[in-house]
Amino acid sequence: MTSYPDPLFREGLEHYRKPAPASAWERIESGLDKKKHKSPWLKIAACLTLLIATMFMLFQHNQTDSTLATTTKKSTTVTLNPDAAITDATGRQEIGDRKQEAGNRGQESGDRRREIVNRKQEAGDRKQEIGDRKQGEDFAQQTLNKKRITNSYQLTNVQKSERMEESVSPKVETPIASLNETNEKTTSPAQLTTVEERTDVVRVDASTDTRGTSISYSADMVNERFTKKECVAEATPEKKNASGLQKVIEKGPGPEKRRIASRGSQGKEK
Amino acid sequence: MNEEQLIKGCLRRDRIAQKYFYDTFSPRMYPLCCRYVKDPDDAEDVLVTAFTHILDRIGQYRGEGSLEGWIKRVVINEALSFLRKKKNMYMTTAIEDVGVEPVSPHSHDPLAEEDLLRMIGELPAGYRAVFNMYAIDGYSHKEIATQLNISENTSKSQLSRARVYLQKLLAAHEPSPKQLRHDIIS
Repeated sequence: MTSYPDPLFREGLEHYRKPAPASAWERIESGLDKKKHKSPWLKIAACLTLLIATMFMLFQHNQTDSTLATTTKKSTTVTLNPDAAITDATGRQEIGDRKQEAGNRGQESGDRRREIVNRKQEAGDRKQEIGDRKQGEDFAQQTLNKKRITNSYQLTNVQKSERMEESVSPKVETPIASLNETNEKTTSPAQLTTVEERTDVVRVDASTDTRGTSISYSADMVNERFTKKECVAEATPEKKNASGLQKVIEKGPGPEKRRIASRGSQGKEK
Repeated sequence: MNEEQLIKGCLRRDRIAQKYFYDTFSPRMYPLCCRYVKDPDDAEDVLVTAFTHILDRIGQYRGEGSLEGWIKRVVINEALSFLRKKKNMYMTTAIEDVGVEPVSPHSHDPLAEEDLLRMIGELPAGYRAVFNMYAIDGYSHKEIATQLNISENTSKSQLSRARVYLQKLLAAHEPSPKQLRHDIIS
């Protein structure tokens, strides 16, 4: 009879009991503790990760919204108002930087929108104001031109310059003067930022205006035109028609003699 | 504390119940680990990993079959996994006729369990796993083939080689197993 050693080993070892080393339980215990402490931390970490991811997504969404708003605003102003008031390159750059900064500040975009709405209202008022000013300014310009035309043939260069000084110097009385004052205010470095923002907002309004009247920058335009006329336009023909007495006065030594000469010429005219 | 209370306590992660569970079953499972894994330290590692797994997932026991049988299966799976990781489970594929005369158990004096355990420990890992699973733990060749990812023929081959090896060990259990192994190889 042939037999295998299987039963010998089965009977001998199937119910064999042997205590495990004492260190085994300690290791099992520590392993169970690790797993016990691991699970809540994992949950917390997962929740935090989810929260951060959600916040990041929201932040990104807000950022894209604000950048889209600024880009659309920029594009409309550029297309509809090519001769915009802000011809100053540095001013534009500064506004561009400000827009970028505003785009980066996604959280501030909400506040900025509200601010822009308020400024739109202000811009509307400002638009009306500027319209009135423009009318007054056109009127003043017409009157000034008339005055110049009438006086140009009668006055010498010196007289004319004095007249021009007189006509320009009472800035407070004319609407142009008040506009010049406002322009001075806009170009003053202390208030540069606020005024730039205003012009920006005005540009947005002008772009949405159905009549297509861009009047927000009339102050600068008028100012430029006015200064050009003041400096260059009407001096040349008078110089050509200058009399002999005028040439003598020009060659003369001092301003006091000029004044005397001018008084004399005025007396002659009278 | 009966088995049901023990399981409930382990499910509540009651440390006293877990310790009781370990004290109840570890003396039966540690020799099992030693049968599959020769080195005592490795056997301890297998026991620790297996009991950590058992106590952590005792809810997976559905009450089908005995609790000890479920624990035994988990421990065996863990031991086989350990052997796979160690990659020292050598398997031969061909069935070869082993020309060794079977030895009657009556020709041996009763052996102590430690001697039997030592003899099994002398087997190559592949032989040992198949012999343990088939001869002691009651697995079929099909189950062994599935567990070890080998063919049934390979399992049978491994078993016959293990038997021959052990018979020779039993035949000459007086000399040291190392000496015996040297004799067999030569």
